[in-house]
Amino acid sequence: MLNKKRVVIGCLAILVAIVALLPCYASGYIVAFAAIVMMFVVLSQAWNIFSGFTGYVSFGHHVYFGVGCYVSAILLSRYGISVYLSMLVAAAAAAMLALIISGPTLRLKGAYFSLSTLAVAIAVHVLSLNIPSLTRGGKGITLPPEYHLLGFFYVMLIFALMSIGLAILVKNSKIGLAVSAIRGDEDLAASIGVSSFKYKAFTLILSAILWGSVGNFYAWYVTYMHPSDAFHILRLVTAMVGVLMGGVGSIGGTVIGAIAFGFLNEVLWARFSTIYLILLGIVVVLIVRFAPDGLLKGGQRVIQKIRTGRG
Amino acid sequence: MSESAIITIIISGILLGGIYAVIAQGLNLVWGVLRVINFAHGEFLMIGCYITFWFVTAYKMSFFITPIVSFVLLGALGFCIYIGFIKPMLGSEELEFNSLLLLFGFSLIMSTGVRVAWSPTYRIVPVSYGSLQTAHLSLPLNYLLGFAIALLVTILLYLFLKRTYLGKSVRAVVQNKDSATIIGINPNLVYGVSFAIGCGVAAIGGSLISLIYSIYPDMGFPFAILSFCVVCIGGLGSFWGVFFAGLTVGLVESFVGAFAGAEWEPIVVAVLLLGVLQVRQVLAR
Repeated sequence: MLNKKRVVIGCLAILVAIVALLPCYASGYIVAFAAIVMMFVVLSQAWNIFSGFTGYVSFGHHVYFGVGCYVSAILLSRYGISVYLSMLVAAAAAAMLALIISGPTLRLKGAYFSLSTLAVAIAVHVLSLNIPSLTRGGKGITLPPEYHLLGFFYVMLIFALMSIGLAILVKNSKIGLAVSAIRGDEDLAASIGVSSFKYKAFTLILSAILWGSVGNFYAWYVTYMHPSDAFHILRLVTAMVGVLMGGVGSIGGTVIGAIAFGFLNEVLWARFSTIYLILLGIVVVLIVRFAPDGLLKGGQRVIQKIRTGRG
Repeated sequence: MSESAIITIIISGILLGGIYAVIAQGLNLVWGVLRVINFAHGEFLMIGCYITFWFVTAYKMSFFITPIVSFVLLGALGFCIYIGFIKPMLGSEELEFNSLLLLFGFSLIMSTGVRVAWSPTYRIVPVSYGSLQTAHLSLPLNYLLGFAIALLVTILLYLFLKRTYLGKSVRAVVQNKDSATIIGINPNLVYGVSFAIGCGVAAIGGSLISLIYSIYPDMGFPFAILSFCVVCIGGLGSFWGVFFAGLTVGLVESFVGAFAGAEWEPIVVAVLLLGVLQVRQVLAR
């Protein structure tokens, strides 16, 4: 019996195999591009696991990425530790930070939550500039200058698959049920015994671990880290736009959205680097204005309108 | 530290705080009336700075006209953004998140647009009125002038909300939109005017800030965060609460800048914001 689910899984497996074998037949540029697109997928999916599932829109996720970057930059450049070991430290640091931040922020609602996470991210960014004994301040840290394209590519592939797997696991578990109840109506969820803080904190920490680990490998890959790269808010924006293009809360949509945005981003960046941010802003504005529930649903709506208009 | 130095810190903190209060008042109006957070608030402020700069340097205009010009131009821009983008999404369930993202998109467009058009160099508005010298302190008159105009704008805004028909309808819509509609107030007009005034007030704040700080395309964002902090401390929708919160934040910044260094100010603002929100949460329970 060949049911629909098996066909989909088979197609996806072939797709993953094609991507995994990219370095065998594609140029270095394509491989580097694919690695960055997969990084978008991880970051988007991780952001989706927290913000998409719980409805708590985090504007401060880039702080976990930055912390991951700095953990590996410091450990690799000063102590020569392997990047895979430093990943554990980076993940632990991001998780710790998420735990600390969750206390004061996760009880806030709506915009209060979003903007206080942003304030925390800015504070940590400024802190990294203000303690040069640890981070070398604005001068930045130079990591061992080695070429890690293949390593970065495969690590990102594994992380992309892992983030999708984790998202599916979370969504289909008791936690997923709890967070979707929280997204629907938090007070109601609490009244029937869902310990909302616990579940929110769990998904936040999970997503922070993913961001921190990716940051860890990113610093290793680009071999130079300074605060305005590590804590750049664009990283958050790219992740958010990926989720938004796919549809907030949807796992498959997020993957498609992140990949689509990866291509768009590359074209915009390569063709119009000076006005890149203007174009990115226009993309954000147009999506929010015309397809706030994702391009897929937005497209369906348009098609439906045309059909009913004709019929 | 000598006594006169402390007095200087206090006075300059209050003067700066008065300008912060006006900037935050714009955010307060938009947030309180539309339930939309103007993420591009700082960018409206930044463009207000540039308008002041260009009118003073290129057109040789008097500084005193430029706040009015900034208010009119950016108020009009705000009104257009409201009509084109915010009005269609009012009433949707995801208003808070979507408007935040939408205005974030506009903030990217505006700050990058300015950077591409006029380069990212730091500029200084060449307006200086010397300084006030007494036995104990020396105070740049630019601070005093900025504070005086800020105070004037605050009073005008207050009178607008209390005395004019439009201002009264703004307050009516905040209290009960449906009843206000029944007695013939057009809520769309009220929303549009509130958004425009909010953006225009931010731009006036920019004109005043350019008296004190040097200006550059990315300067706006910290002011948006600062205004958010001030509104949270003062209480959303509370006119005088926000005014005094602005003065307080100005004082705190002034002390932090003097004792720890200006580079610690953003951290203190963030800690202040989190602390205030915690206290409010506990009090609300």
